[in-house]
Amino acid sequence: MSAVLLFAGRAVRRIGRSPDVVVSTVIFPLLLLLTLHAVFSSAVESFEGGAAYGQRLVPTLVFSGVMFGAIGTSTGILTELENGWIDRLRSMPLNPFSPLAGTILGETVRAVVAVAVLAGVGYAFDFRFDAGVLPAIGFVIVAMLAAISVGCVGAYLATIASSREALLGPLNAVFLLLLFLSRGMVPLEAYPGWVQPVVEHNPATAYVGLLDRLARGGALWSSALTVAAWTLGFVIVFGVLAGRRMAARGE
Amino acid sequence: MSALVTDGSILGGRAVVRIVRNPASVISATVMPLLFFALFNLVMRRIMDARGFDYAQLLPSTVVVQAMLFTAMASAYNIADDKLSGIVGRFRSMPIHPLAQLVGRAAGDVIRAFFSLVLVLAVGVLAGMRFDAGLVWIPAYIGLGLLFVLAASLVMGLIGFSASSPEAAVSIASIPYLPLLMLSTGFAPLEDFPGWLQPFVEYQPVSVTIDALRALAGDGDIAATVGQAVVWLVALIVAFALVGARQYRKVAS
Repeated sequence: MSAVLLFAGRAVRRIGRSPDVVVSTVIFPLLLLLTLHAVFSSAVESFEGGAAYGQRLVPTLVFSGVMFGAIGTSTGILTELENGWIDRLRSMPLNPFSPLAGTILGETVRAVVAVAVLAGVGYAFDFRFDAGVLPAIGFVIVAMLAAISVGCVGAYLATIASSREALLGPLNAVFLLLLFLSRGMVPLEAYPGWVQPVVEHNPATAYVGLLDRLARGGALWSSALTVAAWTLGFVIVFGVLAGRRMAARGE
Repeated sequence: MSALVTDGSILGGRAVVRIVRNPASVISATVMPLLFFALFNLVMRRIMDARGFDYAQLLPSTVVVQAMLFTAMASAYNIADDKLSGIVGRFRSMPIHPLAQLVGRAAGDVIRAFFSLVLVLAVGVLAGMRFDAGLVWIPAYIGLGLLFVLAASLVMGLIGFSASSPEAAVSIASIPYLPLLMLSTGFAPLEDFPGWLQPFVEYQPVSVTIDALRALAGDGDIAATVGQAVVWLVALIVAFALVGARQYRKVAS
């Protein structure tokens, strides 16, 4: 466990020291908030009948910040696989899961930064934690769970990718699909009928939906259970697969 | 001058080969613009149609400009890669026209952009876009798109030249890219923007180009919009070609 924390600490320190990561964690989500709000708030607010678009955008962009942050982490893991750093760690008396688990845990800190920045600036766009303090804490925790889930997927893809290009292209495309086909940008009724089932059952919709309820209030149980199930599924399937690929390298 | 043409076309050929042989570059020229086209159609079409902003007709011109910006960003990546690998300096030490690298690069970008543009346009037409101003304007439409990519890749080239790594070039290039594309008339009508932002949205080069493309496809006054776009783009091309040429010269000394 202490090894996991050690690697998590390393991941966190790297966040502040790499300008790319600052751009993808802080600047890019903020730019998205400012620009998407400027472009689409009038149209979506009039389509929906008045609900503040900022309230919809902040949870969405927290989730998208987590997803696009994971791309950086995923390519980071690929680089460490290629340059031999991971193999070097494998020669040490260390659980093969620790470096990955630590790196993914470090992602949760990035999620907290994203929440702080987006909720702070989102205040100017009428984003509020109307449901109260406890749900707001829940909001942060769900963002961290999302980071762990997406981080596991990114880590697994890094262990099977043959090159950076082979990793970046598909990862970007899949994350864009998840984001656009979630209810985070527009309400469900805005999608053509045949896409609506995809939108409803998209895991991004589950996370964004729960974040939204934790901010605005509303029945939590069923969406909390859905998120718990997705998180467990991602961690078990992709986390274990990634760990096994790592473990297999030393032999 | 003839040395510039010969050397430039050889280096242009090199640029094209590099683009074609790099799967990521081919994907960003083909799949990514079409993905954005499909996604914006799925997500925003009903909402925008309800506001009288006809997405089937208007969105393809936005995605054309977006595809041109992708080409320019890929160009920034390639320039950073060339500069850092030392090949720029190595070419400068050879008996090659000093401007050939700049010309070759621009030629490669325009060729890549041409294929990207035609693909987006073809899919746009399949999805319901019409050239109501007459088919004779299609060459002008393509020409204006390519003029835009020339300007954009000269501007982005500056970022590529001064970046510390190819990845950094792309992430820095995304900072002007996103606001220029989103805060344009590309995805929503001008009146939808907050009042204080409207002057910027209306007159910035991405909007001006998109509006001119739309006019060439039948929505708007061709003479006024295309004139404005050409002035903007030619000014950008002249200014940034001069800066770019200086940068290549400096590498040698």
